[in-house]
Amino acid sequence: MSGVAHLLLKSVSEERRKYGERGETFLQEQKSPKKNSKKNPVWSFFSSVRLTIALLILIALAAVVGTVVPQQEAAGESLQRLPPVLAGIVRALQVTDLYRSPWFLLLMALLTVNLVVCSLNRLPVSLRRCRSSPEPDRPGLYEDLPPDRVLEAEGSVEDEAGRMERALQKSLGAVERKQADRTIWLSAQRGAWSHFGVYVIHAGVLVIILGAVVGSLLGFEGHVNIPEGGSADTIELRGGKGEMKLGFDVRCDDFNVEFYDSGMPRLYRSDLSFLKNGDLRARGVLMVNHPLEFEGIRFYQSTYGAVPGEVVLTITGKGQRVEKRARQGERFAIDGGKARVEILRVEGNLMRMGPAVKIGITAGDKALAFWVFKFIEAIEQQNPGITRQVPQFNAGLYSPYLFALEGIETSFYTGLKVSRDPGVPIVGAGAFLLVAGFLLTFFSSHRQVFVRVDRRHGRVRIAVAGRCNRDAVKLDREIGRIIRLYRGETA
Amino acid sequence: MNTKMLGWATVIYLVAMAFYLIRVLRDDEYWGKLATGTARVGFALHTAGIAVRWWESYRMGLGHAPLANFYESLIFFSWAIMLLYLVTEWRIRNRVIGPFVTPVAFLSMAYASLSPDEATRIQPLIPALQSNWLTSHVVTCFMGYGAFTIAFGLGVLFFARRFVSGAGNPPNGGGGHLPDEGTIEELIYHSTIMGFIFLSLGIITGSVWANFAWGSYWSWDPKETWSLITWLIYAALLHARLVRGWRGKRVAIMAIAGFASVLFTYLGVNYLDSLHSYLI
Repeated sequence: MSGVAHLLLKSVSEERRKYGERGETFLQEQKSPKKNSKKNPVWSFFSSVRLTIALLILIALAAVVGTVVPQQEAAGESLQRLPPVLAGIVRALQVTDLYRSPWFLLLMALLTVNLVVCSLNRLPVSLRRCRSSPEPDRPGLYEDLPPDRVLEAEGSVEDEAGRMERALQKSLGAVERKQADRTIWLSAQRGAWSHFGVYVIHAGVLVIILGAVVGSLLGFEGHVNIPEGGSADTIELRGGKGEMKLGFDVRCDDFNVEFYDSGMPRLYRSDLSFLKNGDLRARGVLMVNHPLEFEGIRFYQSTYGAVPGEVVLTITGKGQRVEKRARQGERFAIDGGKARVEILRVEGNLMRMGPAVKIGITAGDKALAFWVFKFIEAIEQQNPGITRQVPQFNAGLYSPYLFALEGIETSFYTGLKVSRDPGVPIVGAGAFLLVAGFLLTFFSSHRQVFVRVDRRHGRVRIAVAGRCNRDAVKLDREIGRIIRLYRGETA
Repeated sequence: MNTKMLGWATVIYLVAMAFYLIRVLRDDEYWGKLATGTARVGFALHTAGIAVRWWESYRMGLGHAPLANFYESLIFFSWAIMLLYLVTEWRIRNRVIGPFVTPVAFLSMAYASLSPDEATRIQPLIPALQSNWLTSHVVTCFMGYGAFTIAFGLGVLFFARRFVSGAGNPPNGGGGHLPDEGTIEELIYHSTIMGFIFLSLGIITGSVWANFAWGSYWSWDPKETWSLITWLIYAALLHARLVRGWRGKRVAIMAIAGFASVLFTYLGVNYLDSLHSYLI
């Protein structure tokens, strides 16, 4: 039958009755009307844990809204689908940039103030509890002790107290001694610092918030796409905040993407060079999970994509045929230097007629521009005479030269996330405090053991009592150990 | 090999779940012992299955912990639940949470086994997952989820007990073999603390990782945001209990509500546009 299990469970609940209610009062709200009436109403408003709970729930609810409503860039399209009145409300509440909206930040600020005020309000109580002298001779402390906590021995009070003192010292460290007439009181304690665990946790949260504020004030976040072989000195800031000069150039020497046999990506890799005033200052390999840093600015492999790269043209005329390679925006000379050609636009598929390149030619004071299609023959077959009707489509406009588009090469660009966040070390320190606070709060407890040694009916009587702020089971085990240690010495 | 072992573990959990239920209905500890034995066998097989899967990934030259896709996360979720449950059962010497927790572990395993064949195969890691933080992040998060599942089971037990025996703690009889409300609530509190610490560690390890991989320790990604929501709910629970002195029913309700948030953080977020989307 389940007898044993029930008995043991019963002992858990009894323990709770014995220690639990008393044990946890250390955190209970201080209800002293006299004290509260002296403080101003703003202070008492912010020192309420009811406010804390309300704020935690409100922030959670707001965060839920933020995950359901599209945020920032994604919001524009869905806003257009809403009726104008509704869209107006959404805009007014700034729900589409919720986590940066003034009212969300206000909630966070209220929580911060609440946290500070609550902690300041309670700190004196904890200080008193931590510093309080143990008072092992307090009346009532040794009443109602279970029989196994009251020992008897022959000999003198002084000797037994000495033995007990050694046992206490071995188990808990420094022992305090108090003496009166024929009674000796001993006390030892450990874990007084555990009263401050809660403050360490809260300090951790505050430091994290501070780090976030520092990051948002002094840091930035942006993005830049750099084609292979190209370089950039400006990034686009996040959230439509415009552009920012980096103060140096980033060059993408090479970009590689590799795939597993299954088609899943295996590796994204950008080889970057950092240049200042044209001088190469640093080089590095950038991969996902392996950012690069230059002058305090960090670069992350974020995206990649394909863009039209070099255009391959053949130009025939005056008995010559030359092949030219150029990118959009680049220029070269033909006709013995009499004319300059510029690649104005590169289109992968212009008006569903395939790849095309717009070319501008300047020769002396004459300037003209036209499109060169890759599939010009097929286009002419379908639309006979088009090159005459639309001079812009005539690749022989600068006669006697005729342009032909052999192809457009694709080249990759690498998409980099660029950021600087001086708040990161602060947030890290906050996280460290948070974890340390958890350890202090949940894995340590303030345990005090009191011993009274006196003489009764001609025998020495030793009574052992204990007190703790939590974890009564640990205290029980500790007292058991102390009694065993003491007995071991007497035996 | 490993999927077969995990499949058997699933079946064994189903049997253990049945034994736990029979124990409650018959009020006979014989079935309880049988249930515990069965659950332990299932857990041993489950552990071995994960170990074999890990070893196989090394043999295939991929070499990563089996925590890299949705299938593997379901398996580990179930493992964390069973680990924490069996430890709790052993510590409190009581099997009464069994019928409420084993179904979650079983369902998670069963849901994993429904995955298409392709998903159950050991896959190489995509670039974003190629990080040393993968294991610590996933383990801490799922240990947190597991502890919250125990708290949820206890919350359901709290109300099941009321249903059987009425509110309060009748001195004799009436849900006699069930622990009293105070004890259940105390256990909810302890499980919640454990879950809260693990979830905090999960969020912290995730932030460190995100700072390397995505260039920001926090980007309000839906998964991040929902983990924060879950964290806030449990923080509210702990404050309400420790400082406002909430006890009993309200704590049980919050443990159940918190678990709903855990489930949404784990599963629901995948239907939102998330950077964590490679998990599905």
